[in-house]
Amino acid sequence: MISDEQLALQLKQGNREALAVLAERHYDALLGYLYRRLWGDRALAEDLAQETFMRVLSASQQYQYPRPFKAWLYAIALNLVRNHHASADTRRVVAVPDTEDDVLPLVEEDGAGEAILLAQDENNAVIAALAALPETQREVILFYYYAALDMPAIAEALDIPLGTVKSRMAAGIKRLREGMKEAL
Amino acid sequence: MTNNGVPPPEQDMDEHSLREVGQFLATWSAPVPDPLKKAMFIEQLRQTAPRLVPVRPPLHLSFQWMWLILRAQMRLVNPLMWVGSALILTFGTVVTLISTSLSSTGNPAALPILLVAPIVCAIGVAFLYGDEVDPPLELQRSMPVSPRLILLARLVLLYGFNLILASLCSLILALVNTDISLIPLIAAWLAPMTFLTGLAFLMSVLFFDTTVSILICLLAWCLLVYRHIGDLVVAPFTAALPDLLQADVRPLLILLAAAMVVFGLWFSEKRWE
Repeated sequence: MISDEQLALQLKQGNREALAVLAERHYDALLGYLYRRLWGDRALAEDLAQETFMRVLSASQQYQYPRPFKAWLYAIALNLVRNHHASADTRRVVAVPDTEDDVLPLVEEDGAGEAILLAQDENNAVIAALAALPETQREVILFYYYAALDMPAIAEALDIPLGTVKSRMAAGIKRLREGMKEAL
Repeated sequence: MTNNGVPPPEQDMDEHSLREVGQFLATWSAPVPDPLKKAMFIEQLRQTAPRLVPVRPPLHLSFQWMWLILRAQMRLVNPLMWVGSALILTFGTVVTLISTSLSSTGNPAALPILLVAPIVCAIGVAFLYGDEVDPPLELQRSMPVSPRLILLARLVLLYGFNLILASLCSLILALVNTDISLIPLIAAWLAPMTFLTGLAFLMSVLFFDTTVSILICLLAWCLLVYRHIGDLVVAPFTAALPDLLQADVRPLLILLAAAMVVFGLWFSEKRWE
């Protein structure tokens, strides 16, 4: 079977069919990752999954063979998610009364605070555990488990050293296990 | 701990922990994609791809494209510039021939053609950029070719034309007067001509004024020549200047010219931002 990297190279050289094959292979997994990354917002996950492939198409000349295609694909997806959270219309703050008269900004930029509320509503232990992680650790965990990227690919996608991925992964796993124990 | 202070994954992430966390996270299941939606999207990708995939054109088409740009710009450059450059260089060649037949000097540094060729090219280039030459910015921006590329094409045209013309004049001089060697003669005017061209280009981009650009080039050229022939009249201020017309600084002049052209091209678009 022709590899993803060879298909991406063919796409770069103008073979339009290559993208359809890549989309067939990765669409489902990407949607699954984005769905979790966006705290269960299916409609948005579908939009961003489609947008990711459109970006792959328009940026195909920037792909550097033989770098892992999957890492490149997920890096694009993550950028889209970050842009989405950073855009003015999605940047919002949910204010809840504090013990003082003041208000407390609860929703973080990536919507993790919102996920905490969602988890409380639906009693979803996984969402709560993930939302409790620092964002840097959560990115690594989500890539590892929901995008099935190995650690070198995660390092490539996040553009950080492999050692950093490993240390974030270790810290994330540790915190998740603690969260799991609390949930039980 | 590893050498760089990072814990290896197995230290805190044994297989059991990884699997345990994996099982826990797997309880949050992924949505099943709608097959119809997915098929429609992939079909849409197939149809969109021809418009979006930027395919690099074959080499011969790239050359053809460059030739079309050069040809288009050739028509836009004022015809007087071609005629004027040709006339002045021809005049310089004739004067050089007469003076060498009278004095029969073999020293290329003393030939009038060397004084004429660089400044003629620089004056032509000074006319390339400015209010009178360029169409309004909106018109430039609406073209499929960037203003920077147009400017570069004009520069290549003007410089190339003067280069060929000056080379022909040098060839004629070398053929008619056997005391003159072709290669040393070309080497003597090539570096100053390239330097002055770069200077004229940069000045016209910086000041957006042809007259100012020409005046600066003339002044620079006068100083350089005056410094070079300074054995005759040494003024204190020229003695302090480096002699940039010496043979060993020619590579430096060409490098300076390249740097000025690159900066000029960069600045030509920056100035409107």
